[in-house]
Order: sequence, then structure tokens, then C-alpha cells
Amino acid sequence: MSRVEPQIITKSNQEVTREILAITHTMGPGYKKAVVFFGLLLLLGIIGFIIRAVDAGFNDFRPWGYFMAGYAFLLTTASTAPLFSISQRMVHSHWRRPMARASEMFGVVGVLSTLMFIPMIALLPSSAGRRSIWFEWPGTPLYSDTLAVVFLAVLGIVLLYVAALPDLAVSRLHATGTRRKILDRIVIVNWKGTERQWAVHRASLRVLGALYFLFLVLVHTIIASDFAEALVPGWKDAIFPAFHVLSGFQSAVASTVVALFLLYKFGGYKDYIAVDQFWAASKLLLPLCLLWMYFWFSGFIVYWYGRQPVEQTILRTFMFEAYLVPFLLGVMLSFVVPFLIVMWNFVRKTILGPTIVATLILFGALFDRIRIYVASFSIADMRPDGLTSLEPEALSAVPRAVLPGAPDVMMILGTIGGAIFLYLLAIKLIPPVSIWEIKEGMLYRRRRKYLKTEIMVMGKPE
Amino acid sequence: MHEPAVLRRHTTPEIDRRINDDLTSSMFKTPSRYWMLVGFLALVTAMGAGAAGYMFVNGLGVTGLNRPVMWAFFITNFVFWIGISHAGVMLSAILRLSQAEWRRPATRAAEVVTIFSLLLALTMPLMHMGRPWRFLWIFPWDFARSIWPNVRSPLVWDPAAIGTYLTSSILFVYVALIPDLAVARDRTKGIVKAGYSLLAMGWRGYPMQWRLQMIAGILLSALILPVFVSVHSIVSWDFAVTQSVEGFHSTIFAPYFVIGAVHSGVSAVVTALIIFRYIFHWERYILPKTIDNLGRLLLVVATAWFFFLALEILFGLYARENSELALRTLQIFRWPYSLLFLIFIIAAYGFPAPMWLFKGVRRSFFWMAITTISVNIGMWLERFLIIVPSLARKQALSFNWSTYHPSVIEILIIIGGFSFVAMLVLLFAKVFPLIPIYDIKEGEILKDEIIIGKKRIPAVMREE
Repeated sequence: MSRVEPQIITKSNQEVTREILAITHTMGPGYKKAVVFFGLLLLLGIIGFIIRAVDAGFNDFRPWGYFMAGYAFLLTTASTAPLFSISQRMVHSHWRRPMARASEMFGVVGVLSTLMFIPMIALLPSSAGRRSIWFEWPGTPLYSDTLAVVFLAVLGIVLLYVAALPDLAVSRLHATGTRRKILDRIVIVNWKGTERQWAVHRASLRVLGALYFLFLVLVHTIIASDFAEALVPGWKDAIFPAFHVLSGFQSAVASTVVALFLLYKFGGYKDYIAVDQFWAASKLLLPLCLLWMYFWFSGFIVYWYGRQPVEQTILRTFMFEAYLVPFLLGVMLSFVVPFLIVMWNFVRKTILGPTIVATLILFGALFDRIRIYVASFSIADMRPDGLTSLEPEALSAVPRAVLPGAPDVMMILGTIGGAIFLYLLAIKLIPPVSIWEIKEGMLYRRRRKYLKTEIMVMGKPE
Repeated sequence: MHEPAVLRRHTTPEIDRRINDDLTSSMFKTPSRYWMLVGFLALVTAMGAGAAGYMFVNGLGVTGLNRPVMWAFFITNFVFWIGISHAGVMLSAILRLSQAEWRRPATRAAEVVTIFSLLLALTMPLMHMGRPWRFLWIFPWDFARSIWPNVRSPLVWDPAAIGTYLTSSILFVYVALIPDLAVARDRTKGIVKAGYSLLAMGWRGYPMQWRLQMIAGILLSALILPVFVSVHSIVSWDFAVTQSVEGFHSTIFAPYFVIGAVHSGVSAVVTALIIFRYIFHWERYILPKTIDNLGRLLLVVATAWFFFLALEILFGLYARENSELALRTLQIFRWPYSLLFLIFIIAAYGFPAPMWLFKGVRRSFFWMAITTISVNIGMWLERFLIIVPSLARKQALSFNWSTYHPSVIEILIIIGGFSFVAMLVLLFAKVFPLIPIYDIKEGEILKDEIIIGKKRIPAVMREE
């Protein structure tokens, strides 16, 4: 694994602006091929969706487990990714600067996840007579969940827009033709970069970040509860939504690292992305892997220890019998292998090491979501009349595992392809490396001699 | 390109001397109010010890414990003090690993609070046993009769976890203390000097010694974190693996207890720092910026804790089982628990968290003292409300429903415990520097400034 030294940008402000905009405006042929490829994957997913809809219809939710797993995977990765920049901006970390936009850019995937959510909410069986965090309040979970999911998607796009506003304004000045027309329509604020505008910009990012964080946790909680836990009789597990959120945090960092690596390797941003970002992000991945295990184990030990039949059936369903393979893959790829790799500093201090770990984590998240949602969706609505009678207290037997059919595979591939497709379209318009944050970072970061060595001096504005 | 200027500064011998004088002042120049406070605390501790002695002689009948509530004040206090002890590691290890500069004045106090809270926490199960000598049975010593402790019980995991935590915490404090012990050694004479010399282990500040000390600090920080998490998790499993008590059997208990512990522990450290600042005049070291950052940290921790609390209650009610509904009704709506619950929610989150949103509050020593004390009142009640109403078992067809009233003896022991920890921390300050001298000096060396335009921005050096 080749090691790359930390770097300091020694270019002028104008050079930085010119270079990043030039890279953004002139994507190479590789970009076009990638757009076509992932666009085709999205198309494949749509075809898979149509086949499943024609084949199974929308009366029964059971055939849609893999589609739901795909949606949950998007929520866990793309929708949670902006949290990375929110949290790092909050703690004023300088290393975040080149990668903050890469994480916020995932906000555009909210469009796809919202579209995917519509059939899911329509498929969800009535909550009447069923255990639910909503306790049969009127309009729940249909309206409450839809409102939360849509609001989160809108927030994600607004957050991206506000964070990118200074760059969009400068991009407009340099743009010509169609791009200029689009930017003229998008940049509705007359951004001049006055002190007052910057103050409002900072405050807006803080407020939007806090709102996004709160809504993200809420959406994870209600999705985990309404689309998994509430469908399985006898599954009463308070830590599960928290585990869902936590695995989202882990996947958020992983998604951002993978996106950053692709921008570094193929995007042409090598002058602005350095090992510092991968090194620091992998220091986050290490405790997140441990926390993943801790949250999983905390739930598991309480169920396993008591040997209650209802809890044993849940464990056998989700972990030890029906979905043993995705469970093991999830544990290996979300915790064991990443932990064993990322625990070494010499690996962390490379670009490739953290990227491999992040990729494994993303696969782990996918298998984990398949295990949870396909298993939950495979259990029939247990209420005797399927509508209002009380469901049985517990799952009587372990259901058989549902293996993916061709439409399921197409939908999963389409979900991932669609997310990347939207991301690629967005980076054509919005610089995926934040110009204003890079320039701000240049002001705060100096190198100087100290005794016999050279040290870095980092400005820490309060 | 215009380069923002870097102002080069170094610590001077004058600054070194000033830091030494200021931070050893608690050891060599003790104000009279210090002794008054220690004397008062010793008196209260003695009352608590007397009450404990009375209880040991007369048995647990002098407490309010009775069927079905056999865990009450002592176990509440045990969980509470284990929680307080989490501040040390949270602040010191995590902030050291993340290179947060503002941690420097707060770390030692946090670590010391950890040790003394753990010591007190350990006494609580002994009190609870009524016959403390029985604690020997947690060790596998009676080979002749083949009597073994039940290693599958969390009640046996507890002493192992807490013992490991106590040992590693003492080591953690001691390693960080060595350079400061050398400072104390160089400023004392006679037998006191001999004592400090022994503890300083020949520290001379050679580069090799600094290197080892730094590596040890980082390694211990990393290694102690899993221990810190495991301790409160295991304490939580004392409750969570119990199936027969509604309100205990919850999968979220482990992280919920850990985050609650951090919430109350960091709050306790803030309170302690404000008190030390007042007693020892450490205005130059414990700055508004220090408690501002701690306030921000507390806001995040408190909100995470509140999320877990909401999940715990929500998923308790989720299944709508009669026994669970009965428990929550008792816990939240029935007198006197309803009042305690209201105070708990307001004191632990409703009052302090919104206050911490304001910078003015976070930078005010008065308001931070009030809000952090409020948190710990709330967090003590939280533990009480988890334990006592759950055991009261007020539900349909319950043959032995009863509630609990603490006796004067228990109240005295609890108050004595608080006093004991405060007294030990103050006595520690008399013998060792409570603000790490070398850490503050290192901060001074690393501190820098850069000028951008007309503004001077605080900066810090980082070795690559």
C-alpha cells in the first residue's frame, strides 16, 4: 500500500477557483461512460420493479422485501452521508474541507429514495391491531412517515444548495452557454460574499445541519420500527432503531470515503484531496466499527441470555437459521474485517487502506439491511382477518429464507446504480470539492520551522 | 499569494514558573476556606459512616428495604456513582485521542473524580449486603466444598469489570501524574520530598522519558475505553437480563446506561471544576472557553441520552402489555413517583439542555454550576425511578404490592457518600496538582496565533 504524504495547498485563491471549476466543467469521456453505465443500471432497476409489480401486484407486501432492503440501504448510506459534513463542520475540523461536499452531495439521492418510499408506504399493512410506536394515532404511519421521509429529502437538497451557494455563485461567473443558464436559474441569491452574507451562511448551515441530524434520527427510527419491527410479532427491541442509526453513521463515513477516493482517482482532484482525509476518516471508522458490534451485542445478549421462546425465535429468524448467511456477511464486513484492517495506523495512513475498509462496510450494510428487511417482509400479516384483529403475541415458527429472484437483483442493482447516477449528474453542476472551504482552510493552515523540525500551525477560530 | 503571518511564541521560564506556582498553590498555600470545607465534609462523612456502622450492627431491618422492593437507595447510589466515574475516561481519553486542546485543565480533575466515585460505588453493594464480609463469596475460594460463584451472573461480572476499571483508572492517573510529581519533588524537602521522589520514579524530563510517557498515555487512553464502556454495560445487564421485572428487561439498557453515565459524569466534572476555580483561584486556567466547550459536549451527550430514554419508554409501551402499562403508569403518573418523574425530566434535560443552547449560559460559571448540578439531581432520580417502581410491582393480581420509603439511616449513608467523594477529591488536591502542570505547559508551547487580515486567530501547532 503506497503511502501518500500530507500536503499543503500552495496555490493562490484564484488558481484554486479556476482549477476546481475547470475540472468540474470539463469532465472526461470516463465520466460520460460512467453516467451511461449507471443510467442503464437504473433502467434495469425500473424494469425489475415493473416485472415485480406486474407479477406480484401491490396487495401483499411480502414479495417486496428486497426492494425495501434497497430503500433501507439508501437511507443508511446516501441519506445519512451528509451527517459526516454536518458533524465535522460542527467540531471545526480542518481535514473535512475537501470531503465535506462529497458527503453533502449525497443529498440529491433523496429524490430516488423518496420515489422508492411511495410504493413502500402504500404496501405497509394497516397498523390497526398491530404493535406500533404510533399507537394507532390517526394518520399514522402513512402520513407521519411520508412527511418525515419527504422532509428529510428536501432538507438534504436544501443543505447541499446552501453549502454550495458560494461555489455556485462563482461557478456562474465562469460558466457559459447552457450551464450559465441553469446556474442563473439556480443561484437565486445575489451572492457577493459580504461579511453579512457569510454570517447568514454560517448560521444557516448550523440550523440546517441540526435539523437534518434530528430528522435523520427520526426517519431511521420510524423506518426501523414501522417497516421491520412492527411486522414481526413478538419482536420488542428498543435498541434496534438506535442500532439502525449507528450503522447509518458508520455507512455515512464509508460512503463519503468511497466517493472521495473515486474523486481522487478518477475525478482529477488530486491536488486537493490528500491522505489526511483518509487517515482522519479511518480514525472515525475504527470506533464506529466497535460501536456497531457493541450495539449489536447489547441487543443480542439480552435476548440470548434469557432463553425466552419468543426471543429465541427472533434470534433464529434474523441471525442463526433463516438468514444466517447475510447475518454472518454483515458481521464480517461491518465489524470483523474492517476492524482488523483499520486498527493499524500504517494502513490508516494510506489512501487505499481506508477505501477498502469503507467498501467492505458498504457491502456489510447491504447484507445487514437484506437480513433485516427481507426477513421482516417475509412474515405474513399475522392478524387473523389481516386488518383489525389483534396479532398473536409471538412468532410461532422461524420463516423460511426468501432468496432473491431476478427482479430482486435488478431492483437492488438499480437502486445502487440510480444513486450513483444522480450523484454523477450533480457533480457536473456543483463542484464536488468545496471551493470556499478549501480556500478558508488555506487561510488557517501554515507550515513553519520549530526547533529542528517542521510543524503545522492550524488556526482554530472560536 | 499573501501569507497570513504566524506569530512565533515560546513558553519562557517566567511562564513556566508562573504555571508551577499557580498549579501547586493548592498543595503549598492552602486557604482557610479549604480546611473549613474539608472539616465540614469530614463531619458529614463521619455521620454517614456512623449510620453504616449502626446498620451493620442492627441489620438491614433499619433500612426501608422490604418485599418486594429489595433494591433501593444503595443500588441507586451504586449505579449513580458508577455513572459519575465515567467522566474521567470520557473527558481524558477521548479528548486526548482527539487532540482537543481545551481538555487540558479538565482532565486530571475528571480522572480523580473517576477514582473516588468508583471507590464509593464499590462500597454501595457492600452496604446493600448488610453483612459486607459476605462479599468474599464472589471469589472462588471455597474449593474444599466445591462452592463456585455463578460466572453466568452479571452480579459476578460486576466486581471483575469494576475492579479492572479501578485498576486501569489509577494507572491512567498515575502515568499522567509522573511529570507533575517531579515538580512537587523539586519543591519539597525532607520526608515529603522522599515520598514524591519515590512516586516520580526518577523523572528528569529526558526526551526518552517524555516519549515513553506520551506513548503510555495514548495506549492507556485507547485501552481504557473498552473497559469504560463495558463497566456500565455490565451494570446495566444486572437489570436487563432480569426477565421477571417489567421495566428491567430492555435491550437498550447498555448504551442507555453508558450515555447516561457520561451525561452525569461530565456534568459532575463541570461542577467540580467551577468549585475548584472558586476555591483555588484558578481563573487563569479554568476559562469560560473551557466550560463553553464542555457545555457543547454536554448538549450533544444530553440529547443522545434523551433519544435513548425516549426509545426505552416508547418500546416499553410498544407492546401494550398490561404489566408494562401498569409499571409506566406507576412510574410516570402515580404519586409520589409522578413528582419525582417530573423533577427528573426537567432537571436532567428539560431545564439544562435548552439553557446550554445559549453561549452566554455556557460561558457563565454560575449558570453552568446550576445546570450541571440540576443534571445530577435528575440523573440520580432516573436511577431511582428505574429501580424502585419496577420492583414495586403494582400490577393486577400482584400478591405483594408495596412501595418503598427510605429510612434516616439510608439517607445519612447516601449524604455521607457524596461528602466522602468531595472530601477525597479536595484532599487529593492537597497532595497532588489537580490541574496537570505538564499538560498546561505543553498547551502553552503548542499555542500560537495567526493573523488573517486584521484579525488574530488562535492557532495550535501540530506535529506531522
